[in-house]
Amino acid sequence: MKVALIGSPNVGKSLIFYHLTGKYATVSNYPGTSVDVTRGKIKGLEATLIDTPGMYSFITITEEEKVAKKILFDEQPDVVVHVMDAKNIERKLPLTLQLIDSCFNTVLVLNAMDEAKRLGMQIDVDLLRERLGIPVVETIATQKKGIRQLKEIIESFRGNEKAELIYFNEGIQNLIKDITSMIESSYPVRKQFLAQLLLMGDADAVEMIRKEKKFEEIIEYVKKASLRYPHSLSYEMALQIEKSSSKILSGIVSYVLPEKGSLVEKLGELTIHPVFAIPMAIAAILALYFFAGVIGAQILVDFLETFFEDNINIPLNSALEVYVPNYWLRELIGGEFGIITLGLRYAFAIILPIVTIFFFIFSIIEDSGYLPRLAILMDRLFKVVGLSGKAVIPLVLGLGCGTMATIVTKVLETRKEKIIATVMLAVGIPCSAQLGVIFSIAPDITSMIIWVSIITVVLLIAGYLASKMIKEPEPVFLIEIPTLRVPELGNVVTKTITRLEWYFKEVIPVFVVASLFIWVGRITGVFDMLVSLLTIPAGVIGLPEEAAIVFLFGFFRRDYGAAGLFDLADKGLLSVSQIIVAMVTLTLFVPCVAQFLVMVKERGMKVAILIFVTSVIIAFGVGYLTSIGLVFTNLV
Amino acid sequence: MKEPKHELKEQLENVLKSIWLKVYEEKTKAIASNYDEQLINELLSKKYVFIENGEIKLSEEGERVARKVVRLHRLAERLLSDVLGISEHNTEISACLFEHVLSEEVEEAICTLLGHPAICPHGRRIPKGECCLEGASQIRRLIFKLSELNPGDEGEVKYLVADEPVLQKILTLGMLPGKRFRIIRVFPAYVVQLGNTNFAIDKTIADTIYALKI
Repeated sequence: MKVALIGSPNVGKSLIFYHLTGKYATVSNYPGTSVDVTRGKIKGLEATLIDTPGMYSFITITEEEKVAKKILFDEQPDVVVHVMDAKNIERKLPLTLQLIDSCFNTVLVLNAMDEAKRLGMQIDVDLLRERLGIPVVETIATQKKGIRQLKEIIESFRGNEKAELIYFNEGIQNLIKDITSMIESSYPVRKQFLAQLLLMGDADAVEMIRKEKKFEEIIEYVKKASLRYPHSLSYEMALQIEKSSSKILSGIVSYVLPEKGSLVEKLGELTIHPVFAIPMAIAAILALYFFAGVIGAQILVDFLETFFEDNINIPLNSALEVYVPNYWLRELIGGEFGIITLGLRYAFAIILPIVTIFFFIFSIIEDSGYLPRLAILMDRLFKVVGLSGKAVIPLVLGLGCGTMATIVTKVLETRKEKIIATVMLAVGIPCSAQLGVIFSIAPDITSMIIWVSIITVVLLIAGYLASKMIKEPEPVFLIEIPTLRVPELGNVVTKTITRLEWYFKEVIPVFVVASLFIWVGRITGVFDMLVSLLTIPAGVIGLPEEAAIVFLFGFFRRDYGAAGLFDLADKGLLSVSQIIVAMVTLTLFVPCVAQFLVMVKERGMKVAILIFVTSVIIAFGVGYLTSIGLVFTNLV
Repeated sequence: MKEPKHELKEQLENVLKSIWLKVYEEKTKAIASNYDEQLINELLSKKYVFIENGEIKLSEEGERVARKVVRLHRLAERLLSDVLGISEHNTEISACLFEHVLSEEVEEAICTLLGHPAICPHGRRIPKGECCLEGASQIRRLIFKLSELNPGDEGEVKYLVADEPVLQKILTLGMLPGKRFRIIRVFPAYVVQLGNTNFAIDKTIADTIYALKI
């Protein structure tokens, strides 16, 4: 048996998934976390559960919605569980009606019943069940309430009692009838429903029927029909679906006096207050900085680094001296660039603590429901660079890992936004490891300020130019604001671990492979050649030869390069102004191999290479300007 | 009983309107033989129309008069359906009478009251009048764009004027005609409470939602 969870973003689908399967799909309190599809076995049942990305309606806009719809159509789940936030039942029921209308066996889950009750909302569930002819379950996913009941219902579910709950007026009914009669093959949804989608202008439905004998005829018919509705057919139909939904709900939802707003809710108001919101945003970023930058990058890294050097590197190297006579074999494992002494040391002693803390804090901010609020705050500023406020999600995540963030650009709606966000992530959003190392090698506050200002200006210019180059309509911004919640520690921890797992599956192999490449490169002389090639631009911007190696590392992984820079500064090889130039250049330098590969996958080879080359030019160009500027202004 | 003079004016205006709709909206031709000869002769003598190869064309003045009739008809529809809540059938009948009798002053007052609407309830464009271009006015308004409301204001969605992709987004939010909402903030973005949820929209979207201020 196959069961799919469907519902708009951020209604508790992933949490219900977790309770049913014991498996974790990324859960969060902001729209757009689950871009990927997670599957699991329902505990104690012979059933596969599929967690889908958020879906508002059958007329899909974002990529995540398309994924959800595709699962419904392609995988033919035996039961579709429509999860909704109980307090929004009035707005969300139309989708339930459409699910029933399209002939999916539907179960309705009213989640977050506690929040609805606090608002004074009362729902006559028995009457709703009767009118819809499907099971309706009340749950509070955060407290694991109603889950057992849901499981029992899935187990014993026999199918919908009613078929058609949406009533269109005669005009539209006739259109649906005509199109239905033209469709010949059979589809995963009822023909009548497919006809509805076609009339509402759904592009995926058009793709589905492309092989129809009367394809052209159908398309022509829809076109003609929509001309008769100057107001747009989809608008007209949405109104009628809504009307059917209100009729079903009449007498079901009633209100008593709401409970008083909690402290957290009042705080929620403040986060979008025009005046108080700004210091709160700064506080959130500072908290990220303090934990990832100070505690992670400085205290923890220092401790782990020393530990690794003393307890692993030194004993390992002396052991190698004794037992391995071959120089190159020794260098493969130990020495300056070995898999263990360099690759694993960087991964565990420098990167791990920073990334762990970053993901932990990020998960807290994410689960609290703060990110959409930050998006609201940033929307106007982001419009300057051709992005909408929603881009705050991948961009802030980019402060953790650019590769992960590039994948998450999927949540953005237009191609234009996706490209601009990818450009900004590739060019100048430093990842957590980079950030951590930069925080720890920055000589003083002045140099930090110089670095932040330069990077910000470069990012704004890059975004602005990119938005001017892509001649597509400006993005529009629309976001649902979730209730501000105190995050559950368990959820935060599990989520951090899930992200770390992903990160390490991605990182460790690359680190090992990078060490291998360096090893091969050193034997064959290619490494030295590349380094001496990079010495030229490094020299032009006033950096010592050793810095060239750092840039080469930076390509394998950005954090790898950052870690190299940490080593360099640690040895006292750089002057203050050299450190600033190095900080700027390395931040702007090319994205790492992993991020580049993701860029190719998401945006195509052409765009990826263009961004790659541009960022090399920007990095050394701005690095050069910085070094000159520092001499002239005498700031440091 | 109506005065005969009045009746003739009404008939002439109806012919002008019908020609205007054919030429400017349906983009087809108005064939002279399809119309009452007497009325066409009357329009010819007033220099509202002229005939070329059996096709009636509007003179500049004729076009102005026709456009105004269309405008009044559609404004009347908006007023009757949005503010007075009259049924669709009765709206149509009354609008057909209104279009011939409204004075310029009343026209401007209604237009301003309704927030200078761009489309009629059937989704057809309302030709702009002078008041729409000037904007400023003394008359109290009832219909506003969401972007023109202030924090604390409550409204009822009357209609949406947006292109398909933006329209879809607003529809998925459930911001449909008849729904009541409250404005919470207008900066840094428009924060709107609809039912039990708050959501934020930018000015582009807020400009497309027309609402009756309550």
